Amino acid sequence: MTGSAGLMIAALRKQFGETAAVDGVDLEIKPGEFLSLLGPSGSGKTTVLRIVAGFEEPDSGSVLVNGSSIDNTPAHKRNMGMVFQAYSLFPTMTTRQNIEFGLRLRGMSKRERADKANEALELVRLSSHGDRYAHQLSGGEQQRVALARALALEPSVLLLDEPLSALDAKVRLHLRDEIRAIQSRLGITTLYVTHDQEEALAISDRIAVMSTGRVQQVGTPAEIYSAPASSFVAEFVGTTNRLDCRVCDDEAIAFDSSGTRLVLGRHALQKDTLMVALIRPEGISITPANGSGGDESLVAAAIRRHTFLGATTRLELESPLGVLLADVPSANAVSLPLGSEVLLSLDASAVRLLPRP
Amino acid sequence: MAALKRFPLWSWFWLLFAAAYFLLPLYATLEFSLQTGAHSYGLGWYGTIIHDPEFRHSLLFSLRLALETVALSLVLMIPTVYGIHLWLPSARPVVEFISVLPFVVPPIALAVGVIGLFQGVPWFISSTQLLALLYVIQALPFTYRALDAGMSALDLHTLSDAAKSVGASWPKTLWHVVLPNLRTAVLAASFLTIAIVLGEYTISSLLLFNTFAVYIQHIGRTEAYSAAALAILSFGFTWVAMLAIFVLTRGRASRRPIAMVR
Repeated sequence: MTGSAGLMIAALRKQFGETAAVDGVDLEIKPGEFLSLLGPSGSGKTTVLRIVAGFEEPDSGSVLVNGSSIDNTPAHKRNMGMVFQAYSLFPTMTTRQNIEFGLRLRGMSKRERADKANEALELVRLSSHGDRYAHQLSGGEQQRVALARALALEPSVLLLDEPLSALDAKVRLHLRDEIRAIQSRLGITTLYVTHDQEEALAISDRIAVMSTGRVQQVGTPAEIYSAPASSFVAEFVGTTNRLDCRVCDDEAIAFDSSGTRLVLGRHALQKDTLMVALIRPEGISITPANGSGGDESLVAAAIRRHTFLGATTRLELESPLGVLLADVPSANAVSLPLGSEVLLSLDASAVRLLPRP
Repeated sequence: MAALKRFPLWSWFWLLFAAAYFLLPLYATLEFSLQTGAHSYGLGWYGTIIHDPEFRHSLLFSLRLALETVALSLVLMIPTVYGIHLWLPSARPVVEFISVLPFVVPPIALAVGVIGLFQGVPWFISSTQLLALLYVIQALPFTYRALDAGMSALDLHTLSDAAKSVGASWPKTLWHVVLPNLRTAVLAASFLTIAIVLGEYTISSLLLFNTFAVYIQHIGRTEAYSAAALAILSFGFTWVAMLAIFVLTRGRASRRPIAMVR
């Protein structure tokens, strides 16, 4: 249905008043790739998307599709399909008319338009909804029609601006998988904007994490999660414990708060370098206090809070290292009541060390 | 009793007072217009008015002027209000101020000013196009407000971006996407403009045009019974226009998007 194209964003800058919304963004998206721009509100991700779509003009920088600059091409001639955060179906048109509108502007015959609209409706499994108006569709259906409308035009790049954020949780999960399945089937180059890290991790080939108008890290979901390039990325994507430490020798660190040593294995860091140790909640193991067996690498802690997350329960622990979060299987959490003393150990292979800013 | 409790006595009083205030003069005019003798009633005066060639001439002339004014106002104001909403929101207070100027500048000042301004171009002063242009100014507060309210009710930015993303230039977006959603606003603006043009007397009288309002005034001075019949007929026209708005816009509101989230 579509021909995929490579998208390149080079040294993009955009200022709104005193604020740099986009501050030197470089990105390359391969043909057929699904790349998510992930970041908090105000990080500049939507501005980047709107510049690519042609709705905003950059102060400097360039957008290239298949190696050719589209900087001087107006939005309506860029051949980019877009799905918006807001419900954007044209209210006075039926679902079918919405899909056919862009095709009509391209001068397609009535029959061609009808065929394309049928194909697009089938793709989003809404063939029976062709004669309905936007107000007769649920939020999820409206977004699926918006996706069909974008795809019917066989765009070179598909742009999605938080298309799931107005939907309830269950519909969001379902539609997320559907978008990914359609994208994989069509092999269309996709730029997806979201502030939901779980969504980005689940749906993307690669993620570009943005903050204050800059790309902080680009990588696969696994790389972003397990090897964050900065404490911002670590803290924004998933939950992380952040502990200040210093390098003791060529294989261990010591935490500032308690002096506790942790052997990480051989590393090339200089002695006494100030570092930040990042460790995910699942990288901390918990054992009841009576099962210690005198192991000095274990740290005593008290359980301060339980947060039930379904399969796992998150424990908030008061320890000499500071307040730590640790995940345990919910079945095991029953034997760890509030206030009880436990021993925790840090999985050295799960610790990520970053220079302290 | 339940109705009385829900609707206190004072409310009934004010309701009846307001009804009497509006309906009694109307009833008196209607009765007067139907009087054909001391104790006889009929539609004679209505016949006189309807068969008067001046009535038809002035009404048709005013209707033509009204249509020209509506067309000119919409062609001028729809892109303007769209542009302000989309690209120049900071200009909104200025345009709002300009739009109420016709309330501040009396029609007589406008007419005298225009006569003075175009003194050297007499053909323009005597052309009906000038009158239509002046009526565009007179109708501006109503046209602007109706269109502004209509566009404010839409998520114009998202709709315009969506239209652009499927390949529509801004004029096509305006024509195919925005305008169909402004049906109620456009109709309201149009009927208000028609009402203004049909009732405007000062400017047309000063510029020596024989419009419907000038005809009403003339009849009012010379033939009391016919004037009452004409007043009732005008009232009827207004109601027909209001009903037309109601019928033409019925059911359109439900085609608005149910939720626009930004």
